[in-house]
Amino acid sequence: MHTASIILPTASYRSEMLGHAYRGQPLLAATASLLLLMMIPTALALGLDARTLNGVNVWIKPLKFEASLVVHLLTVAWVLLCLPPERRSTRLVRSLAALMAAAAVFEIAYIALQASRGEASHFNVATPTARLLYTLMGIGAVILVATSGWIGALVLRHGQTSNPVVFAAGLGLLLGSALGGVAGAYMSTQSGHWVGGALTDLGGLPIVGWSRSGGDLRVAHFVGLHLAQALPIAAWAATRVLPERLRMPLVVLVAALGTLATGATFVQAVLGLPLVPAA
Amino acid sequence: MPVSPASLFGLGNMVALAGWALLASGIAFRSTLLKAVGGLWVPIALCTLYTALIGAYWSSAEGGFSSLDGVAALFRSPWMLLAGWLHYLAFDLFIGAWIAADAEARGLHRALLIPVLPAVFLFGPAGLLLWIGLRAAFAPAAATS
Repeated sequence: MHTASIILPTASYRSEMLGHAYRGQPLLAATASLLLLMMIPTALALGLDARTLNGVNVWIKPLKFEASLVVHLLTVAWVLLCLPPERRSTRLVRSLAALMAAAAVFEIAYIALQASRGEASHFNVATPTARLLYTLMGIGAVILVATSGWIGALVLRHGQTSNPVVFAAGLGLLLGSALGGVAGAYMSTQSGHWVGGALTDLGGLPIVGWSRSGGDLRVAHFVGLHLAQALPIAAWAATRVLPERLRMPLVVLVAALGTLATGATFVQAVLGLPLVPAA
Repeated sequence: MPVSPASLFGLGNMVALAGWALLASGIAFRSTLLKAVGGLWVPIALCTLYTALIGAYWSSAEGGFSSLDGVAALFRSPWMLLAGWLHYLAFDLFIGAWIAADAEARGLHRALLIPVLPAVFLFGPAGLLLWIGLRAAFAPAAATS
């Protein structure tokens, strides 16, 4: 027996969910797994480091982005299961996945590096290098949403879209990338994610940290992107509880409501209003 | 040239750097000999020097391993500080070679070593942790492709 398998039982303890992701897209599942493991030292650093940025611990941001990209990459890997095996292992899909994984690793690497230096990553234009890297982060983000949206479109085009779950998975990824991408792009044209209110993340909503004193552009970005999960989950739930004729209309309804919610939270933030005002 | 901790430090660094270069070449050109020279013989040379330094200077050094102050006192001796540094150099290089062998044994792509070996070279344990993570993350990917 190889000594290393004693140190880390890689094969036996892996969950079935993760196994499905590896069948959907091995590189994206592997990248997600790596980022998931990286959350452990990141969380430890959060406990050991007293430095703050925007009023909160410097390691909050890397931890949130790691969690977010784990969810996103696993979602894309699972959505690809909606394509027949020969359709999900084409050169196009593998190239899109490689681009997406590279962009994700770059974003996390720079966000973590800047956290370790106690400096901002997004919106940091203090030096020419920081400005260049912020621009590269923008390119990375565009790659992430463009490749995700493309994969969503491939599922809509080549998948069994008469199945509500497949339709919702493809539409969710396409719509989520488009809406989340637009909200993110607008945010990048601003000097920060706050609109009015206190320029700090201190006292924000639990976990997400959204401002309670003014508008926060991260809300619409979040709501939009997570349609990629909301739609397939709604469709899956519908297959359990709703009669067949109502399932597809439900998916369309959730897509419409999600689009509306993204638009509403976007307008709310631009007007300088918090999602949940401070009590 | 008088043998001083500083001169042996320079020599140790040079030898370790040569070891890493040989290991990297061995991986790049698939040469077992280069990998063995860089990843095993160079650590053996560093370990030999370390052992001799411990033999010669341990008993006269102050401090010990049982408290952080004790370790700080130990490292105030330039010879013990040098021995400690050689420990890093030897073990980091050996771990780098082990990781390369591990990747090969598991059929994982050599490209995965590109971020890992520099990380081991600079921040040994963080690099090892990165490899353990990458190995766990990519093993099922290698199995399915």
